[in-house]
Amino acid sequence: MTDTPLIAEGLVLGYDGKTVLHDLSLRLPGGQFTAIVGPNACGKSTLLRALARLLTPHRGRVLLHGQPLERIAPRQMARQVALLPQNPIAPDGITVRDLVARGRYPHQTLLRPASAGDATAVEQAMARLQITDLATRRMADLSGGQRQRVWIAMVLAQDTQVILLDEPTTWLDIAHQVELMTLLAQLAREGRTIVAVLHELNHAFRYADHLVALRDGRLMAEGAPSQTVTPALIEAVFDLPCVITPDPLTGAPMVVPHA
Amino acid sequence: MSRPLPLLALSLALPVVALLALAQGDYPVSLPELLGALAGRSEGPVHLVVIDWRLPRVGLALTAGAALGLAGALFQSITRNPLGSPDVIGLNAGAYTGALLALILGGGQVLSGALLGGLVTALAVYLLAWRGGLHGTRLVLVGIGVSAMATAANTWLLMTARLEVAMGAATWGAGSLNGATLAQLGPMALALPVLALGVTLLARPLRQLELGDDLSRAQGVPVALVRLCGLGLGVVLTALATATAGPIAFVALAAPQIGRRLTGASGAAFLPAALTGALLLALADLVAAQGLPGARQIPVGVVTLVLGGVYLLALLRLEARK
Repeated sequence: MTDTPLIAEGLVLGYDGKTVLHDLSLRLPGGQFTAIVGPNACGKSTLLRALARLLTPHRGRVLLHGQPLERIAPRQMARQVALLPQNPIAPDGITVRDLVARGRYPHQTLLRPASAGDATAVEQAMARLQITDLATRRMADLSGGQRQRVWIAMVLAQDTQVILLDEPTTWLDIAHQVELMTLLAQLAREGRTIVAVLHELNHAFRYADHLVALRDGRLMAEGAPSQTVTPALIEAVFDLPCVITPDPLTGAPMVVPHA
Repeated sequence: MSRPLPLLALSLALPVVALLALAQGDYPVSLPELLGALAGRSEGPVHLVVIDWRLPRVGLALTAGAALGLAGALFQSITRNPLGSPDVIGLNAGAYTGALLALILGGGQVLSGALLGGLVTALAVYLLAWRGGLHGTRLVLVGIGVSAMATAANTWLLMTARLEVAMGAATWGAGSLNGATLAQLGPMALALPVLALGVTLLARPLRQLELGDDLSRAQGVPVALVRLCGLGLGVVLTALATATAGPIAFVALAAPQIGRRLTGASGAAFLPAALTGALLLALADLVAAQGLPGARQIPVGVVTLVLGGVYLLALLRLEARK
């Protein structure tokens, strides 16, 4: 996949009379892992929600494979774009397998509630996240890290070309964070388009193919991390004086803050 | 996945309790007599007692119980809160206000008064809780407030009413199936299947909605529409049960939770909620019909109220131990 499945054109968006995104235009490359970074309240989540059509822009539009989002039926959209929000809710008493199976919703209808294909997708997603042995456990009994893997498996089971994730590593310890970043990079290599809002800069720079840096709802930089990340950019986006040094293993840019 | 065995046991318990309720009472009927009466082969006192007196009562207990169970599951699912049941958020109290107004002002159109009261209360709670979106906890809190105000209004209305009107109203307000007639059972038996079908059609998106607004919308659920339809169905189911049997507490609150735990289902489980609701109200009415020493019959609403208190205490103890 070398096309550009998601394109934002001149997005202006806000709530309560406050503008959050100012004339934002973006191209999210297909089959790549895009990381969206920026300080708190810079509009990262708002951008992600606009890409998932949870918010309607005041001006501008989002195109999915060249088609404006508002012209795509909800079910068709959900078969092409999946979203994992920051705080999803697990229903009372739900088991891991049941929750992962909820990801199949857009592929089912009232007359065709569940098929063998659904079961296969669920089992594959659980195997991929290594949670098969947790399948019959209840969500309430799992650790935060395990729970997050179940949510990711649910999104994978939705089997979409584009996957949007809002701070997917927040509840994970460092080992699980690295595991998840590796998985996201792998999914991108297999042809999926991954877009994640991330806080951990060094992870974003190392694992993402494409970087989007925002501040105050404006695009500050866009491109491959190795070509866009400079001390000047980090200072401009985060007000953080720093040195950029190549990561000793991969040569990806690494942020080392001043004092 | 819910376990099929408890579901089967629930379904089998219903006819057993129903037969028991039809047979027992001041005029006991043997099983062969009972089955004969149900098959239409009886005359005289047996027919009168079983078909004219007890059958409407048992039928209403089962159908109103199922309606309350479904309504509770709908409201708890939409508010994502086990306390978000119609009796807690004021629909019962509002329906009672409507019934009182009908008794005092009008010519005693209790049914339509209760229906209207329930609908108006639901609308008031909905509008007061709306802040650019619907939040479960806010809906529950607003509902508790509205419920308290409606209860205060009810007390005042009872005080101002003439004695015989007030006594009739108080009896209705306790929630009773005493003196149920076949004419009452008719509308309920017609409406319940239609409403249950509506719940069945809505069940899949409703259960998906429990994952959160953002996630379910991204999965293609028309969130606002599903929620509005679910609330509408819940209000009509509650109003229907309340209009026929009076405001009955606890069944809508507890049936969905008990049903879900019994069958091991996750989130809103509508079939277990309906079956458990029917069983609970039928059992409670069995107790109510036997009465207490010194009181020949007690209103079923009193029995469910006592059960509700025990249920809430058990819930609190359970939560405190966690």
